[in-house]
Amino acid sequence: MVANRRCNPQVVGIHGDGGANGMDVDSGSGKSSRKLSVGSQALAAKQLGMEVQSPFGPDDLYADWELVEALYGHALRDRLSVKPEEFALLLAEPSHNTRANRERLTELVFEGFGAPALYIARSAMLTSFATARQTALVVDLGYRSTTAAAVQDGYVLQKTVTRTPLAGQILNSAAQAVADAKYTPLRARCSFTRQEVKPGEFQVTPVDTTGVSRSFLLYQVEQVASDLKESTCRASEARFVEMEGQNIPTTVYELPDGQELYLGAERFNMAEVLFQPSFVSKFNGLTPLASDVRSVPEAVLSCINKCDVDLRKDMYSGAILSGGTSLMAGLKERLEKDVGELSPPAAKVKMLAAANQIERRFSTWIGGSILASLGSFQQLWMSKKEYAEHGAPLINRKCP
Amino acid sequence: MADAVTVLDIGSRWIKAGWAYNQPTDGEPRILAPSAVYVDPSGPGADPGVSTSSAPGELQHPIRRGRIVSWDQFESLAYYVLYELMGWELGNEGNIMICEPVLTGRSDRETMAQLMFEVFNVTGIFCQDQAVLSLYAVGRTNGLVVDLGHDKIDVATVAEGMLIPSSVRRLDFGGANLTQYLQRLLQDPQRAQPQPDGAGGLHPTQPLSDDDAEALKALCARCAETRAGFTSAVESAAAETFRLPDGQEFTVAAEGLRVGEALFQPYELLGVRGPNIAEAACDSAACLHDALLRKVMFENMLVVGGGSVIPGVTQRFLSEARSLVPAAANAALTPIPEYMPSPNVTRDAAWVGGSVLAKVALLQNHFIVKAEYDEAGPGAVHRRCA
Repeated sequence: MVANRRCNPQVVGIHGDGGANGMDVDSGSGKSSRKLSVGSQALAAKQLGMEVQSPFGPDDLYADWELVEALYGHALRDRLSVKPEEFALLLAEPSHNTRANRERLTELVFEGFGAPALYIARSAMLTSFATARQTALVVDLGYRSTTAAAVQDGYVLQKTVTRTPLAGQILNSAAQAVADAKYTPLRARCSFTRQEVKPGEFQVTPVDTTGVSRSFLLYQVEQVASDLKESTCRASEARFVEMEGQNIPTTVYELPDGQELYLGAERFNMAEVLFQPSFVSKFNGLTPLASDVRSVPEAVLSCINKCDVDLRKDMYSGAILSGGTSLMAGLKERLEKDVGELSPPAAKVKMLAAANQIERRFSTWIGGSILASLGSFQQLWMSKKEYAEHGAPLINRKCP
Repeated sequence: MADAVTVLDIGSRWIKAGWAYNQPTDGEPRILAPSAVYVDPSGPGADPGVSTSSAPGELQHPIRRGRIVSWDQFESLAYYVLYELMGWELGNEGNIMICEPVLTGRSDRETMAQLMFEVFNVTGIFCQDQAVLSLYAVGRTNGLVVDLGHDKIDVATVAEGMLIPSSVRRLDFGGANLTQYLQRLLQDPQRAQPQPDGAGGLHPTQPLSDDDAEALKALCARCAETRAGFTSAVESAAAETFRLPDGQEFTVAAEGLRVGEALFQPYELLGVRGPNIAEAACDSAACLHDALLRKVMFENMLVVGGGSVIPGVTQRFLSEARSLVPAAANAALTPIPEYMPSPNVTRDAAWVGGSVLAKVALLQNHFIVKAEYDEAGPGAVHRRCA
């Protein structure tokens, strides 16, 4: 969005995580007449027959374009109250986005929304802009995947983009498994009500949930698990080994239905999944990962090793952490240590992470905001006229 | 008159205006005019207020769901309210404080600035969201505001005097839906059945006109304390007779309770999909990232707007919110300070807050003055108006 200070962070949510600002589809009618309800408000209340679906496909790129269009339309028209025809659009895309996807996105923006100008920027580039650097290694710990990408002089080096599925979604499943194993299974918020019988004391009664789709219940359960993860997960300082008699302080977490969970070693277990993928087997119900899945430090190393030799020193000393999952306590220090162990002895490993929560979660958006307000950027937009003349493939030339 | 500030609160049903300098003696907006305009189909222009032409024309509403849909009609309405009702003198208009609904787009704000400076020639303008102003009216800068309006309900969280836009929830129903529901209930043929206590049946009345239904709703709507309380009260409700200001009398039994309950069960009673106001409020606060901030929001909840005068609505809202929120958060309502002179401070909270802010902003030169507008154009209004 060009120079719009009142942009709410939801816009970034669309690109990074189709789940949080996701959409739901009213099943029952034919595919051509699906009723789509978008936005966190629509997803908050239980509605019968509503399925929750994300526009992302198996490789974490946009797959369902109808949902994408509805998501963007909601963000522009309902939340920002702007007409898409009046404003140039700067879109952030995943660093591993394909050429075909970009062309499809260009078509959607120019034909579906009629925007006057467009630029599609890779999110790693925008994150490095947000920290005022042109050359950096960007480690984005997101929801569906963790991506490590090298940015040199403002361009993302495509061959260095490395991804691993160890990210927020797997941690959410781990948190859910922890809660399920300790006490009763996590309940979706819409499946019970609480009445205050005495001040401070509540009585929980289950609510009939027939007619509510399974995907909606799963979505709501995942919200609870996500909050559990955010409140209690902690990365241990060194390789975590669960030993008998280890004295780990427990924290207490109150679930929405009033139950209290006391978590000790589980807090570290959950976070350890990012560093030792084999830990996934400690949680019931989680599908074991393929054996070639890299841990996060290994992904970072692999990314750096794909860079040119003379670039690697800069990459080691200036890695930027971004993304919601990077807010976990102790993660930055642990990642520095692990990458330092794997790296050559001469390399000095240093990671930067913004202290502010908002800056880390939305660094891509902030970078986009900075980029779009630069004077020297204004000639780089792809205009509607150029789209009419050259068609969608021009976007790959204009936006490297 | 150069220091005078008019506070204008734009609503879908009522447009509220008044002077800011009469605080604290004047706690209420002096002018409460309906936001409706008679459009004469034959000639150009529109006459707000009472139509003077022989053909009454069509009644239209320039403001719907918080947005101004017709700027020409709004201009006529604003002219009527400001010059004729408020008594503005041409050439000496003074400053104006606009209380705009949340989620007003930048272009709408610029159009408003353009209207005010170029057509009405005001000295200075300031715009602020109604959510922030409602909190100022009760002396707070942090809180969760639920604004029960005529055709929409807005839920917003405000932190340190600034609205958090990603937390705004706009529900699609409001006072107008409640009125239509009341009209449907009174038309229900079931009412002609004899009552359990032996009294005669309540005859289905003629279709109620909108104005009569609004007046009746204002008299009889109330909220039960809990959902279980509602079901039992509906069964045992006794018939009461209400007398409208124009002399008509209506007998209602449980309809008043149902109308109040519709705010908390919109899908079952009104057919509107989506969360009820307590669920929307909890969802709005839940999307904040900072856990401490969420706690502050739950402890400072405020119900304002036309719908907040329904007896029992704030207590019911609080009890529903307490059942949705974790016990540790200790959900509570913001206390209304005693020094506020008007008993209706929650109904007019946005206007009162605008009045409070106008004095402060004027003293600190926050108003956008004509010179700045001339220099930078309508975009100047974004400089200090958040």
